[in-house]
Amino acid sequence: MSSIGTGYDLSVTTFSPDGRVFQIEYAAKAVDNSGTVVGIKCKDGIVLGVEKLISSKMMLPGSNRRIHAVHRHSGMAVAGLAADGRQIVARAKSEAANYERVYGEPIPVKELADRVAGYVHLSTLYWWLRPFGCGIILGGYDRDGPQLYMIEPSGISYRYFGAAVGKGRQAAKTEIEKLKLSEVTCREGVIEIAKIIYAVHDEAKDKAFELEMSWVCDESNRQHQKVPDDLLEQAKTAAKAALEEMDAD
Amino acid sequence: MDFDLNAPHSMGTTIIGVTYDGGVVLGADSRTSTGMYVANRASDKITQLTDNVYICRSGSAADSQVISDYVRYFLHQHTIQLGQPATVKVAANLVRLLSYQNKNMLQMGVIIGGWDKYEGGQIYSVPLGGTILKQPFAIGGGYAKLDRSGSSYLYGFFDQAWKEGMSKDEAEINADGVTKNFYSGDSLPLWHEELEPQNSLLDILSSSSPEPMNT
Repeated sequence: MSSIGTGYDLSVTTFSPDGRVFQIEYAAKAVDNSGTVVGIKCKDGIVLGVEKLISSKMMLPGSNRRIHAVHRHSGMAVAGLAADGRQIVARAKSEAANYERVYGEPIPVKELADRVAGYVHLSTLYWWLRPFGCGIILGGYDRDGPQLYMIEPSGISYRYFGAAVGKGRQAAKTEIEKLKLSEVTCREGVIEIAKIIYAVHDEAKDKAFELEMSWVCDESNRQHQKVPDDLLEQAKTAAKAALEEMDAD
Repeated sequence: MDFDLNAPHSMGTTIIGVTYDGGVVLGADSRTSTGMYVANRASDKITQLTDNVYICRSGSAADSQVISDYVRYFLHQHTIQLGQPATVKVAANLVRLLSYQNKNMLQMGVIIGGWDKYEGGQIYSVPLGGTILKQPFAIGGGYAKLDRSGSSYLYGFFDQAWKEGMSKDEAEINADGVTKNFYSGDSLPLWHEELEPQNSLLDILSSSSPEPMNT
């Protein structure tokens, strides 16, 4: 499936004869090689989950956060190059703050997604910039209810019921499609996401990982926050049990 | 008698906005004066900003007109970007940012009133200086040199007459009380325009909450 650009891939401002921009596709590959990031829109909110691959046993658990709060009502989980992700999060926070200062109300999630997508797209227009190597899953809860958006390195942004990026995205998407999301609450969603992330984690290729999760839902008062520790532990236990069941077959 | 016909036109105005169950009622007198001379006895001090938000202007006519024009322009762009009608709160906030940031140069007090699908009918007061205050009803005006508007008397009237959750007719009587009883300035035979409620075309775009497609 992957082909060498052979000369048409040296710059993001060059099209190939078959209409592709290879630099953007290569940026997407950077995302594909990173740990899985999953997001779902449940009945009463959004749940985001990240498979945080641990590169060294010396790292403090809980450091190197991959999920960031953009505003009181929204959060972003980033897959791919972490440093690129930090830039995008900073920009998103700035857009959200600026919108509220001018318009007097929290930025609608749709508007935030459009602005982040526009910013990511910007870096695909100029030869002196390189595209961001990040896939972003943005979840928020505004007056129009909970919404989930995914933004790709090309700058494409769509609204989703369930989305996954990174290594295990194919398997994760299959699992998400099995869920009846319009009936699942966020509490249940947290458990399901944990199960999915544990299931798609490849024990052979990658050693250790840490599960990071956040939610915005009615229960969290429509604020974006880390999933409470007790629920997180509950989810991890359930996920590990489900995994053993699978292995036992 | 010395009429300074080149004095800045200002509105020794009385303006009022009242919320009721289902919307807002706005009222204003119609006199614009230059010093002692009545420059226009049929002015329309209630100006439209969007389909669903109007502004009652008082103080310097030029200042309030230009600010209204700017805000109408910004709201138009905002509506296009958002894909649905702007909320009353956003309109009021834009007015007050301009009013506050240019307070040294402006002299105007306004009342913004409108309806949106999230909060219903709302009234916001933006007086001299650029404060923003959401109120169930608001009265204002009288920024002519000598405060010749009737608005001070209205505080007493409203104290007695206003109550929470009025019907439209009750709210209109309130606004009537303003123009007929308390300010003997010019007013046109009470002409009011009731806007027919209309679904914004933009709302059709974001109507129903979608369900996942079945593959």
